This record gives sequence, structure tokens and C-alpha cells, in this order.
Amino acid sequence: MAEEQIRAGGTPFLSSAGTTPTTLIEGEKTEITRFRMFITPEVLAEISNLRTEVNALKATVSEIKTEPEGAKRDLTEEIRVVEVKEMTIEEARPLVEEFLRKYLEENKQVYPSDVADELGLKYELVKEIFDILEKEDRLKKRGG
Amino acid sequence: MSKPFLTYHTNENDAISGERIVLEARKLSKPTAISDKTSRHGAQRVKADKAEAWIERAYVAGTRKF
Repeated sequence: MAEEQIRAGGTPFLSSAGTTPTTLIEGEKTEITRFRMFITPEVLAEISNLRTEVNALKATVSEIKTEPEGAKRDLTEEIRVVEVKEMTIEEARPLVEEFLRKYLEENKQVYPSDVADELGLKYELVKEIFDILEKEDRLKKRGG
Repeated sequence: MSKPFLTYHTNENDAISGERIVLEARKLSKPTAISDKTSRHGAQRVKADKAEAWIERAYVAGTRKF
């Protein structure tokens, strides 16, 4: 409305004393009822640009708020690639024992598949080492 | 893919059941959530093509330390 007034060569005052000011920018409303403001077309153009920028920022914030769910979904769909190393029992056993020593300090139980995946070893190899460790009483089957 | 420590059951409707089942497959589907009106706990199902699965037991620390 003010812009039209200015374009039409009308009064450059947006609002006169004693009248309710026109809200140009949405936001917190104040209790001020009396003010005089001179707004040039440049200022109005700037306000319009700012309004566009605010809307763009609102859209970005909305996107960011929904992003964690999307990121979580992507992570669950992601496949972890384990490159299996070719090793003999003699080579792999110290690695497995070291892993188990630390792992069993923090966890009550361990599955061979966890070790195979973590160390990138063949499942059969880890199972064989578990069988040896079980015979040596270093490991035992849970509930067994 | 065959593993010497496994016992293979290859007939239709042969089933295995365990706390943890390890599954290796050439192709694995995305999980599908299964629920009906009576089930209290939901489950998920995956389909695996050219697959083998086995039951895995958990191990705990034995009497001898590492």
C-alpha cells in the first residue's frame, strides 16, 4: 500500500500520527501506536528482498530439521564393506586374542561374527580359533 | 559358500531358530516390518537369495585368562 502511494506520487509517509501503523514485516508486534516513517522505494525494495531471504532461510531451517531422520535412514541402508584378509590361524590368533581381551572387558559375551566383522577375518577362521580357545578354557559357550 | 562346520538342511520348510542367526547371501532385501492386530511385538523380515544361515552361540570368558 505504501509502495503504491509513493509510486502514485502520494504522501511519502507510511503512517500518520494517531493511526495504526501498517505491518510491513511480520514478527513481534509492539505497543507503539504513534510514529512517522519515511520510506523510499529503495528501502521498500530492500524490505522485499529481506522478506524473500527470510522465506528462503525458513525453508532451509525446515529442511535441516527433517534431515536427521533422512540421514539415519541412509545409514541403516548403507552396507558396510569388510575386506576379508587371508590369514593363517597362527597369524590370526594373536589378533583375535587381543581383540577378545579388550572386548570382554566391556562386554559380557561375544559372537564369532562380531570378531570376524571387526577384524576383517574369514568367519570359518574365527570359528576355528574360538573352538581352540574353548578347548583351552579361555572361552566357553554361554549357558553351556 | 559351504562351510565345513555347518549341517545343511535344504528342504522346503526346514527351519532354524536361535537367539542370533548369521545369514550370508548373494542378495538381501530391505527389512519389512511385520505386524498384525494380535502381536504385541513387531518383527522384521528379510528375503535372501542364494543364501545360507546358521545359528550362532555367544561365548563368555573362560576360567583361564588371555
